[in-house]
Amino acid sequence: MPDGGRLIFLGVLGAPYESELTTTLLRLVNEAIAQGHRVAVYTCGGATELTLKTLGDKKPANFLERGTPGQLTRYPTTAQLIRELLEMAQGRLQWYVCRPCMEERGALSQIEGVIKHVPPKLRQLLGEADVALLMGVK
Amino acid sequence: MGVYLLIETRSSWESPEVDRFLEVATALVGERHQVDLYLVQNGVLNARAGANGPLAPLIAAHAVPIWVDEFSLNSRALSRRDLVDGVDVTGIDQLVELLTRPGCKPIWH
Repeated sequence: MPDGGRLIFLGVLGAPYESELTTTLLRLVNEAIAQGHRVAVYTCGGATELTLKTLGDKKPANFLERGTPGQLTRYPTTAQLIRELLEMAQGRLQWYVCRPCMEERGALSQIEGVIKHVPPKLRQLLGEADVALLMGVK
Repeated sequence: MGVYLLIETRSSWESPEVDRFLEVATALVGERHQVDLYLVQNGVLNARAGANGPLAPLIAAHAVPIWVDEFSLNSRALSRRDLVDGVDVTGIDQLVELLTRPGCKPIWH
């Protein structure tokens, strides 16, 4: 990972769709990169499915928009949003996927650019980071 | 003196744990730590005027800056005029700035 800024570790341990956890996570990553920091995200449990290749690039269209003037709203999947963040960050974002969690859920087909790793990596990342936030746990 | 960032994502109507979490902020201040409270997601509902004051002790003490995430507010059709006095409406950029202070210990709830 290139130098510069602070290294922020975000551990995503909570259920990604139970609340707005994923929205807050992606907003936080986007802003941290924009401010020049480096970010390492480690996803556990159901959060390993945020980067499933089989999600595709976009969600189904909103049929309520059909027939209305103007450009249709874009509804990217989490996989696409994370792919765009990885491209935007130019090496300042590392997105780790917990391998046992991923395998347990059959979420084997992951997008390019994410790193599949075993849980001890989480401990290593915690030690290296300037600040660590574990998200989605009580 | 430690630097703490408490991030509340839930409202006090979801769980009594929220009140306990806010008490942690009071306790940390009592031990002379620097504490900021950032409300995001359903956590912003704690700052509504007339919300029976889950934040009242913190606001009265003037010891903990309370930040309210504007995106979460707007998602709930709320704005700053719907909130109690003594809180600041801000964006996610403020959360990153708080988070990246040297020695910051963030706690997510």
